[in-house]
Amino acid sequence: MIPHIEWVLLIGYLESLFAESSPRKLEPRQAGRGPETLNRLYLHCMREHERKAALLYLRDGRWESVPDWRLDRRVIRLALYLQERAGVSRGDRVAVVSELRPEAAVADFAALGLGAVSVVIDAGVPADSLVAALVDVGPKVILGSPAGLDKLDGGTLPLPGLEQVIALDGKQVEDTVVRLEAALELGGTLDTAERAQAFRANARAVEPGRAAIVHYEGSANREPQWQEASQGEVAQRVEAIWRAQQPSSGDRVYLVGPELTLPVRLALYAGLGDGFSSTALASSLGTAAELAELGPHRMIASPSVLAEVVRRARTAADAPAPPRGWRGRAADLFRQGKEPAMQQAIRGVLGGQVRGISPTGPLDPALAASLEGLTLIGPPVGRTAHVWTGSERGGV
Amino acid sequence: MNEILAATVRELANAGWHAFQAVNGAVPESESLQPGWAPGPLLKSRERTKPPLGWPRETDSLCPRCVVDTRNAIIRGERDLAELVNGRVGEIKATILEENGRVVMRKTCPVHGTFEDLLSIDAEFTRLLEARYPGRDFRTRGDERIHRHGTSSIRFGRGAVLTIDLTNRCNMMCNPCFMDANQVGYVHELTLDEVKQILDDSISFKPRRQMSVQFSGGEPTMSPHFLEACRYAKDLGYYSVQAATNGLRFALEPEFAFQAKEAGFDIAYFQFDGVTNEANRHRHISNLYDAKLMAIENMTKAGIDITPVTTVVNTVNNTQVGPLLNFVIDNCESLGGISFQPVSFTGRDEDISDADRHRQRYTLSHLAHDLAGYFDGKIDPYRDWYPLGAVGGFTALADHLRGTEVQFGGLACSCHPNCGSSIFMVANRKTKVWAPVTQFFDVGQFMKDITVITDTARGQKLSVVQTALALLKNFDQRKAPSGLTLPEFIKILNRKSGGAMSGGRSPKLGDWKLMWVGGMWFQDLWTYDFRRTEMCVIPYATQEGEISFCAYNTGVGWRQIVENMHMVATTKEWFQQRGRHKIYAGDRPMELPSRSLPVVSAPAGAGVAEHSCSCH
Repeated sequence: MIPHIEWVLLIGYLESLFAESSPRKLEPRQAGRGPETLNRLYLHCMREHERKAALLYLRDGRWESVPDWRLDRRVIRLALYLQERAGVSRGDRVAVVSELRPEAAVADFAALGLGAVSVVIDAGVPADSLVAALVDVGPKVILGSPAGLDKLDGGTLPLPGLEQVIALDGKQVEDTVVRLEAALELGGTLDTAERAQAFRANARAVEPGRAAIVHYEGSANREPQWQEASQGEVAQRVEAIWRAQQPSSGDRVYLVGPELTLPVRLALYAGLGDGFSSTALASSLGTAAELAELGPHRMIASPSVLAEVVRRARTAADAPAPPRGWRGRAADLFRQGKEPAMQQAIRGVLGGQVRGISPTGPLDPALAASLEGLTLIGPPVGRTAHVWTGSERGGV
Repeated sequence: MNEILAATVRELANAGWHAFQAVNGAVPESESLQPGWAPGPLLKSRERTKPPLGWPRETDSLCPRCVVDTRNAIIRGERDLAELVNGRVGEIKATILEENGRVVMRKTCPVHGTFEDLLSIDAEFTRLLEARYPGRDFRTRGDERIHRHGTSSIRFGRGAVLTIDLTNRCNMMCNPCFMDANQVGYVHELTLDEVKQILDDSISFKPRRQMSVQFSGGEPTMSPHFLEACRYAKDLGYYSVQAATNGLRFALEPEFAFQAKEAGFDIAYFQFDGVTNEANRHRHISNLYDAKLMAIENMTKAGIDITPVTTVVNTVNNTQVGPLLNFVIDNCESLGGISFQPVSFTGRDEDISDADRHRQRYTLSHLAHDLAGYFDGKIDPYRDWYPLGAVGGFTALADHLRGTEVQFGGLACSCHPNCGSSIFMVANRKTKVWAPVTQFFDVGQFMKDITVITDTARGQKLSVVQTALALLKNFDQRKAPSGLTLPEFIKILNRKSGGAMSGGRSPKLGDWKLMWVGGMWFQDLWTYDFRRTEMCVIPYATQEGEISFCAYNTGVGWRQIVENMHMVATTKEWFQQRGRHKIYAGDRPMELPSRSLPVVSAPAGAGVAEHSCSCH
């Protein structure tokens, strides 16, 4: 025992080696072990997770994070608002007219938690089709992004059952429309322990067979076409995605829109629900700086976005390599021995860490060949399991 | 053998210390450092000022009747708020004196006559506390916008706990309640922007020190902004965020505990009045103790530290102080100590009769003797209790060691020695063996040694060497509880300081734990002393600046004035517009959730955990 500074610091150092800094790890998500319903999947991942951010989104060129606690509180508060002020209850339809954005996810989970049917229509749908779709659905509440609400004439629609229209982005809204922030503010006051637990209990009790999600798929002969899935079916599809993608601790999932398609929606449930991944929502393929900052491990995007990735990779591969030091050259040699140059280029375009890409639809063979070897994490997300079509179920 | 080795080390350290000081004392003192957070060079001990101490002494106090009349007139709009700021509303002189071994405050109002109250049942105990006070922190500078409350303004130091009332709404209906929650007829609730502004303001002047940001109320978890406020305080650089809470939300909603921890919530300053439902009956929930146990369980699972807080009222629950400390020791794996708060007659209790007030008065000296009696002298009133301000000596050392390139100074709890006192204890989490630190560590001598180190202000390495010598020479292995060695003791000190000795990496929790047993005695109109107010370490941060805890809750009653100025709705309007919240009262039991509420109903044998959150 030598009484000097090193002795004191040594004790601290040795102890710090055994510091309680590493949390207990979650079990990897595996097929057949997941929750039985989408709602239980959501409740489970909100309670048990191993990540700093549930969602990521871009603001002014930087990635902002939404931790699980903030997402959950916003979902509960919006749900309580919908329940108290718009009377939404089990079986009602809530329409979300939006492109891919975090607020749409909040609206989706709030509606689902109430046992309502969450009907999502991408905001890019033409105005007349959108109105026709909403008339077909008959929602009790519409939550819309500016791009969606612009097509709805300030929310004054001939929908007899419509109680409220809520703007997901409240910068410029009509008087007839409630801003999401205002709804969340009131929902915040309603958000007591008793009400929050009642919401969770209600959400947990929704049966696997109950209709959960409905997605607008376009129109044929001026008739809206829908896909729908029950709570249990969505949970099964999420498991299929997990089986294909093998999520692991610290993953960042890069979900590229702007279209809020059914595969994107399912990929969002899978990324959020695995408890490991932070899911980044982007309206388009990011800049090199944005992708470098994010460093995604998995990517889910449409074939057109993936084609853009390949185009950028080709440009990068064709460009003369900048002069590098001996360490860089040695690293290149090592990598070249493992992986074709094109795949290296694709990886470089996507921030350097990506280990898998899932398309949201069938790929052109040439594009698939370009991506092969790097990605191959299963079939397109949209085809990971069977979805009952509206016609099979007799319409929405 | 170990004892012989430890004694040898101690003697060697003692010799080393004296040899070092023989040289150190012969060399002129070095100049103190001047970090950016401080308004000047770090204070040497002789530069620290002290308030008038000892007795008899005269001080400035308040007439309990004039103050209430004036406050009500201001709230009714009959008198101007400026009178409160610029005048000396209700102020009278008071004398603090010793009578029959007790210390009392006596004062006479020309209108309302003479008032007398008890400050201590043991003058020697109080004298020792005052003698152990090391002196005040810096005078504040650049705080004109924040401290603008006339004679109630805080003038010294930065404080230790920044209290922010998020809302005056509450889900209980207690008696006593120093803020009359749910009874005042209006709602005062901060917006998130207001919370952020208040926190921004809190680092706008010097000294800029670390504080524990404490969200309070009402019940702070009733505020919709509680979680975001915790996060913002952390983002601003404060290392400790706590809440004065009744814990019901954590009992009713386990998810909230995990979310709060994730958002940055560290410590629950946890209302806890007794270890039976009967001992909590004055809170008017018949199974409140059961609810408290559930809250402790949920918060512990989430990794939230818990410090129970007990308001002690003589003849009501004073017999609980011993059992409560026993409960804390028995549950030391979950609880980090306990804070006893001798009753302060404020809020609804300002109307108390003289007879009831004298009967129910409880002081720090009562606490020291009640604990000594309960534990058969194992806690010694004269050896073990130090004023809260004694921590200021340790802060001075930490500030000196951390140098100039830090954003915040260390947390300095340099309040008046009459405001609070505490014991530090060690306890073994497995065996429950415990002892006051002062039983085996010469805290008094260690503080003197620290003074030498900070006054001579040598470089960092030499200062650390001296600190190590001081630790070694003041630790007496023979008097330590069985199993506690010096390395173990340093380990728990290091852990308690957040890993200050190991670059901020907190060591693994071992068998031994450092625990804090404190007494915080807030003033009321009968014991009010402006010398205490001006060096308050628990400022209330409000829309009208930062106000001393006692000036806010009692004194001229800034709380009622600020809340009236900034109320957002009458209670009736609030309920109409925003819905009612549940209030647990009426001596009825509250419905508690099942202990194993399933989140996931997994297939049989699937092995999906139901309660084991892994995010913390």
